[in-house]
Amino acid sequence: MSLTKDFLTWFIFSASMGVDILSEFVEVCIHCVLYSRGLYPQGVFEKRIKYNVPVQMCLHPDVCAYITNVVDSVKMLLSEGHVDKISVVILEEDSVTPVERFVIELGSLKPNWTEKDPHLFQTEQALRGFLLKLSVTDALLHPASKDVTWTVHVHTKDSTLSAVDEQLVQKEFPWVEAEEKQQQLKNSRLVPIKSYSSDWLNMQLYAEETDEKS
Amino acid sequence: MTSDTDTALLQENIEEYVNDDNKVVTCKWLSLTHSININEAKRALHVFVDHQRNKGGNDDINVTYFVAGLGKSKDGHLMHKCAVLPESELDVVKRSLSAVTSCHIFSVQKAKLKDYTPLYMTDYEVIKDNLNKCNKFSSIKCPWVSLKSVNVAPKATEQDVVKAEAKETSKEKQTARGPESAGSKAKPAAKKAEPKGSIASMFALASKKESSGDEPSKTAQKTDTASKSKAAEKKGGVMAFFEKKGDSPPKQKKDVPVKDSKKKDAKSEASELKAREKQKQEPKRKKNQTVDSDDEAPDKKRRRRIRTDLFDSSDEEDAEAGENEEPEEEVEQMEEDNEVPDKGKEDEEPEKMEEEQKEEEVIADSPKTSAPNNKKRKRTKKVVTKHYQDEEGFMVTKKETVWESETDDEDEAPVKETATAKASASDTMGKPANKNTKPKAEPKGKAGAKKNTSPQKSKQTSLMSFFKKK
Repeated sequence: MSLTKDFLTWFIFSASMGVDILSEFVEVCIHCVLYSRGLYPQGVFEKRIKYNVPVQMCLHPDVCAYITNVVDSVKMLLSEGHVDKISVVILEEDSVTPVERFVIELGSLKPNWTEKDPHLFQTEQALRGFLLKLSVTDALLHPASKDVTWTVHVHTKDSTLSAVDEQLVQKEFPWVEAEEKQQQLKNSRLVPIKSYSSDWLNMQLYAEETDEKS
Repeated sequence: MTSDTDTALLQENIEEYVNDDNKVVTCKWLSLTHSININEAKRALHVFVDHQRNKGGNDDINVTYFVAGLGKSKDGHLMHKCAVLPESELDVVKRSLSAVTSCHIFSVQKAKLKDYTPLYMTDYEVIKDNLNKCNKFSSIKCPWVSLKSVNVAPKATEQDVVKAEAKETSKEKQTARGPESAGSKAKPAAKKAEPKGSIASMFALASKKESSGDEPSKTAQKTDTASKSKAAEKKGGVMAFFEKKGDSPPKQKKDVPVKDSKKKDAKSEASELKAREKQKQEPKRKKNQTVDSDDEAPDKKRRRRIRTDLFDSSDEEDAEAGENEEPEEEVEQMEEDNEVPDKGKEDEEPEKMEEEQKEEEVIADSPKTSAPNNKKRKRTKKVVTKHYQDEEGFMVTKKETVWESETDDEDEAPVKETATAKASASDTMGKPANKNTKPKAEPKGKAGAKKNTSPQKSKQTSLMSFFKKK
């Protein structure tokens, strides 16, 4: 009686748990990228704590709202189906061509996460490692370019999108298919940043940048 | 020379970390990763930076410095300031300090850091992984500092136990225990875990000396139930006590006599608690026997009693009917059967102490004396049908041989009954409806054997006892 009920709640809980954890991480990642690539002046950022380490979060309300919407959509997509990649694309302002791309590539989320890591210590450690590596990627990449804007691309399946399409429209945050132009990086160089695999999550973070930076 | 090769190896490693792995190498991280002194780590980083810049010509490494010195606070007072800063700000900060007491390289990395977050994260990870030795490689030492002896902590807790017992046990015993309680301090915090741990440790020692096979396992069970760290501490203290008695090794001799009393008191305290917890007579026997026999009984006797008690208590706790326990219980029952409790005998009996039987006599006496109202009682074995709810919630009727005092002894039974009620697992089931039957149910449900010797009244009196005492 209570046993089965607990199991059910655990199961339901665990399935959405992975999605929640991942979406939180995506949000922090986006903020981190904005900070480290100098997309907004440093004064706009405030130190907050995530995974027991300080992280920089942007304070500007519009930016925050945008990121929140993005993350909510990602969460919906993750819970409905499979998401291949989530990428933060930095575009050059004038030509709207991508100069850099930070990609989080995801394997499928499995619900059996409580077996080896019930308190998520390893997961937290791994995510901390991701953030640490992300903040020192300056060394690996060319210096950040000025006059850039940014967007977020999500690579997923048609079926997944159609499942959440209505909800997205209702939220007044519709997603459109990205233009070809925006997806391709010319003469790109791939810089792997970090990867992590565990029972329930397989994830890797890498950066792509074009060599044609001014 | 090994030190040269070590240094060279270290330099190679640092180069690998910085250039190839793109790691942030802080001095603390380096010290803990390579198990070297922190000053050595700082020196190594300094050498590395010099090498990279002057000889290697490789200038894309970034260095942060740690600067400490005397500076002025906002109010103009002299203040000791410390700062971690990038190289670019080094000169500025140094000039702002009136006296620079320390300046060394804090970290080396390839990336230009925007803030200190990566430094913090690097140190966070490495310290988390090495919590027990994170200060091992520090150079900060104080010659007056020495490690606290292991026995100090258990002594404190034993003293608490002593104090608690001093308040709880009856007045007669106090004279016997007078010399022992002399050293006790004032905290009446009785903790069940610690006495159990101490008893467990004594148990373990008893097993060594008397080579009883079951005891270690029971000890293991005990230590599992008790807090392990406390048990370990207790073991240290108690072990010293035992060794002193047996082999007299030069181990904290001053502590031994004090510990002696503490241990005895701990035992009696443990027995006290067990008396409260369980409905058996043996716990009460324990209380009396340890108290009375403190001065006189040799270790073996005490241990034997404890072993018995432990058998019983562990039996109750683990809900297993130990086969070893039953014969002992039977023996005890027999002995108690034979006994005609007499208050006058109490003081004498502890002194006999030659056979376990006599110890049982003493045990038998204690419950009577502890209850202030009843001076003379008779205990007889009776077969009584008991109705109770077992763990699964089924009403069970059993015929059991129980002790029943002929005089109305409501004070005694409820103490034991409610004590068992607290201790039992079915408490946790949280069925308030069972409260009336709970006190009886527990010992039976736990032991599963019919040979429990809890002094039970008829149903009505136990109900009354429920209302009288919690």
